[in-house]
Amino acid sequence: MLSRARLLAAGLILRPLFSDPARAAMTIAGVAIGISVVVSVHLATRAATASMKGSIAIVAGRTALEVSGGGYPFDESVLREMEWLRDEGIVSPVVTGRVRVVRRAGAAPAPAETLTILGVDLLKDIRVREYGALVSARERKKFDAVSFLRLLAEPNAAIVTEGFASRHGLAAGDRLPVLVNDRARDLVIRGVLADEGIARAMGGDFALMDIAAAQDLFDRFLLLDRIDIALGEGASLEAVRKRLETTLPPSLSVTTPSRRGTQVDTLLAAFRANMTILSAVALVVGVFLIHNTISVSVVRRRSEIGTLRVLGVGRGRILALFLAEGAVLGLAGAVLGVAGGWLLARAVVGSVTRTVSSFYVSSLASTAGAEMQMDLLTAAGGLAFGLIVAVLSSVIPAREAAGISPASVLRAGSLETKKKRRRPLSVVTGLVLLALAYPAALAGPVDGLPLFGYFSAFLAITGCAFLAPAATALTARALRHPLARLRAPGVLAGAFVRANITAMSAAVTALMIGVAMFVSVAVMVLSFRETFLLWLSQMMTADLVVSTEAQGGRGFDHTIDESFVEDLRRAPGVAAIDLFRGYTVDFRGVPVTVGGAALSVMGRHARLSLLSGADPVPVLESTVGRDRVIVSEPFSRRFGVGRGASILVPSPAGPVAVTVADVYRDYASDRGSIIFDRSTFLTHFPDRRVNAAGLFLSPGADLERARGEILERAAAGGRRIAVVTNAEIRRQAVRVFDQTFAITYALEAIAVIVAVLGIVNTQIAQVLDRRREFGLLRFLGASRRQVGGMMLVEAVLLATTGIALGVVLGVILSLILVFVINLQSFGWTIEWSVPTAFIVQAAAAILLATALAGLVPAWRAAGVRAAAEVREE
Amino acid sequence: MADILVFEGVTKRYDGAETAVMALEDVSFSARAGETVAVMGPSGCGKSTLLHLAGAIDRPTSGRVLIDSRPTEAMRDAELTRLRRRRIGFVFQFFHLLPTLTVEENIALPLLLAGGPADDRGARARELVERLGLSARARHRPHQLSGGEQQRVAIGRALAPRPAIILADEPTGNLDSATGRSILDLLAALPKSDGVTLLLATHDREAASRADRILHLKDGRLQPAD
Repeated sequence: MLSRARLLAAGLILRPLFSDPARAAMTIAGVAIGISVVVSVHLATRAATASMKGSIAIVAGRTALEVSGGGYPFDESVLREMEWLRDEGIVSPVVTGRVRVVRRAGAAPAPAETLTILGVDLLKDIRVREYGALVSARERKKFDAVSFLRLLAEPNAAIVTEGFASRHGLAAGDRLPVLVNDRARDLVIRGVLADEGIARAMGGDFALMDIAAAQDLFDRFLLLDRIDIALGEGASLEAVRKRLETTLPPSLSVTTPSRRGTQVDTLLAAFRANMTILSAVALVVGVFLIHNTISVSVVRRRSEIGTLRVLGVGRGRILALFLAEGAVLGLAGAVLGVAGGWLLARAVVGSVTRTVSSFYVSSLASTAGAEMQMDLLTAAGGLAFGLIVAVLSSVIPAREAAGISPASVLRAGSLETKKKRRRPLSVVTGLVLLALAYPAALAGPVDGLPLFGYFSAFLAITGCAFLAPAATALTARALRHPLARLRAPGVLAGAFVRANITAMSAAVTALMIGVAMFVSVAVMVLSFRETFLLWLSQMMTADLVVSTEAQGGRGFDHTIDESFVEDLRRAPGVAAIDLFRGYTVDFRGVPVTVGGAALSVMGRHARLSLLSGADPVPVLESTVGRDRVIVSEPFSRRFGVGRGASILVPSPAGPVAVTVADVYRDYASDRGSIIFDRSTFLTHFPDRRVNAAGLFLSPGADLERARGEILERAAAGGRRIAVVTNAEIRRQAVRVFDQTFAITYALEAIAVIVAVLGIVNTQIAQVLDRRREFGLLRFLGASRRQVGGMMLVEAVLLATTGIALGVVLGVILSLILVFVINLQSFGWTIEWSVPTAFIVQAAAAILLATALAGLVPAWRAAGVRAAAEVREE
Repeated sequence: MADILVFEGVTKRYDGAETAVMALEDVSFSARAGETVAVMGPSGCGKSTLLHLAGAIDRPTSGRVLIDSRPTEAMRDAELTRLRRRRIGFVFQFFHLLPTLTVEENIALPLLLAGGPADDRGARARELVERLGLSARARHRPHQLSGGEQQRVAIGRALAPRPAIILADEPTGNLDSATGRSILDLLAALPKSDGVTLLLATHDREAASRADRILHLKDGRLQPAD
């Protein structure tokens, strides 16, 4: 039995595959690309998350409980109230912050890097965290607290990690210039920590300092950011926690370090889900490629199958044979895909990690140097996924093969006739699925994820897939006259496509899906871009923005003295100033921004867009001197807090009850923001330093002169500040926006490439199948050009249908993306608009690409010789 | 009458990877307009090669083939194609109709390839459909036709461009004898009705007997008439 099965498999499956290596390779490549994209996205996002959580865990060390001010530094006197804990374990106060590393003259060029400073009391902390050995030129010495203390005795002394030191070419004794707040400072490297234990956290981008030195560095005299508590044996975590909660002031919270890991998961859930779904598109296209290949195999081997059936081979075995063919292709593709996915992930993990850390969790952990690891589960999962997908996509053609009756073999064309009869049913099914996509889109999110949105998109795609054969037939018929103008190639191509809809429509469907995803993402991103640009022009109206050179982007790590900015009011040409200060704080367990801005100034100079549609000026005026705030749209959607609601905002002095005056649109971040007017803000958040100042110049004032004057004043006071113009900020914002979505485009472009391969794949199969037809045409006086032209017209006809359907489906999907998936994932209202010119250009480019790729099969068809193919014996 | 087709000392050799096959050797003959010439011989004797050379599908290795007084050996592929399109009609044993085209479209195919106006193509195809008794089948596809009907369509297709030469390779070989006879009747009438030269390759003595002349081919060489 086995030998018979083997014979059948070899004869019917393997040999045809080997005899047609180009096509088999293309199908395998299609699956491989799909799998590799899915695997790489999975690995890269997981590595990014894992590196963050890993850093959190390493830094936490033996910390069982953390006391923190929910994002605000707090008075170190609180330590006195924790003396009782001495019997239970170790209490280690922490001051932490970030500095910007300045590239030293003559040093190897390194990107501007952020260095996290961990300021601790080493005598205590050595029992909380795992410190490795100290490295010097001659030896590695195991850490000992006293020798370390000696190293850190002087004010600017720091110990850096081995990785950081080697990246920056630093050795003990070197000075490391850094920017912190609006000042330049020099750290003195006193030691290098071996690459083990804590030195591995944050990719090594951190430095150890004595807590007093860190307080000095960050201007946080007598203030702490955190207190880590490691418990001794026998101590009860719950009992300690309870006692802390009852004895500490209400502004402080007691949590476990693992909670921050959980936060990373929560924050990244939507990002990961969307990336995974987008990556899966390439695989969906791969499904159609396999379906297509197996369908062509079945059609081509009808007579073989019939003969085998006559010889007594059962239906089950025929079914199994073609499923096996799909499995062979799928497995080969999956093996390559898993390997390719790993390589791809290594290439993109850096950029994914950066995106993730800068947009989502910069407050939780720094993430340079995520380590990529391929595990057995992912590899096995990728293989299984490829295999299952391949077998499932082979089911329909394999069933067709099994259904071939021995008697039907001699009647060619009967399959097509049968399919034609089924077409009305498939049109009805398609329309019903398409209609069902609408109610699915109306359902709300599940656990913050737009699951029904995805389902709706799935229904729309499946619906259109059912409509594709009928649409292909319709297009071929509708284009009859234009095709006739192309003379013989056009007429023959049209006749062939009309007569072979089944064989052709799988490739059309694959292209449709690829194009649809590309178009929908383009519509979404470009709509978002339009919305964002409009919003930016309304919000970002300050002529000049003053911030610290250290910050160089988002975040509230660095501040400027208020006195310096207040003095700017008297600078030439300055009409008004908006001061901004923000904190990242915990709101209901999620990091949000709490900030203070001169809202009345904003009311006069910017056009804030409110969700209620109300006039922003009176709304903003109503916040002055009162406990009224405006919140961003993502905040409002995430916490279900709207206009008029009361919320408790954490502040250094404990929670403050405020009323939401209105919800404003904010596309800068999907993190929620709560904004006070600066007047009220300062009563609850007494630190008067600011992160940035927006300067509005009087009409006719000289921008460059004002900028020069400000920089001069800063230089005179030894301050390192950055002054950027409105135009520069907008350019920068747009650049960040475009970078953020570059990977999205890349993913969808891959889907389109795979789909274009599908068309070429089909055409190559056609060349093999129709050699006799080409030979005959040559007999009858067709020129090479006419035969090649016919194939090219066919490819273009299929591509046109696929692209046209894809654009329609893409626009439908874009509605789901904009109004359901994006809104539920990120909380942004986007003005939907179709970038017609872009879509037309993209469609033309895809058509051109298909036509160019179609030259290969066309050329092969044109080369078929008449005498060689039309033989009578 | 002028010679439409002339073979002068024609040799055709196929060079394989290891061995060369001599398909035709020093073949000379000619055929006049309106003449029917049968080519007989066992399988592999070179009949098909002779037809390919006569049909401007291929060029001789040495010697000359003149179609319409024009030597083919110096022609480029495009010229051969043009010559085939205008002057030659083929009828095959296995019909070789395009399954995607209707009867009428199959007949009009050579005209389509020649790039004639659609109206003229349609008119010529309808004329032939009627003449061949296929009016009821004009919109059918080949798989809906009997063997005899398919061969009629093939004959219509061969006639469509009003060729000078019709090459028929075992045209009855795939038909039952009654149908085969009717197809032969149809073919044999063409030299008179349409003024074409008919070159008929066949195994069938009865079919050959309808010809004006019979060429016997064995191992690539013409045998003296018996």
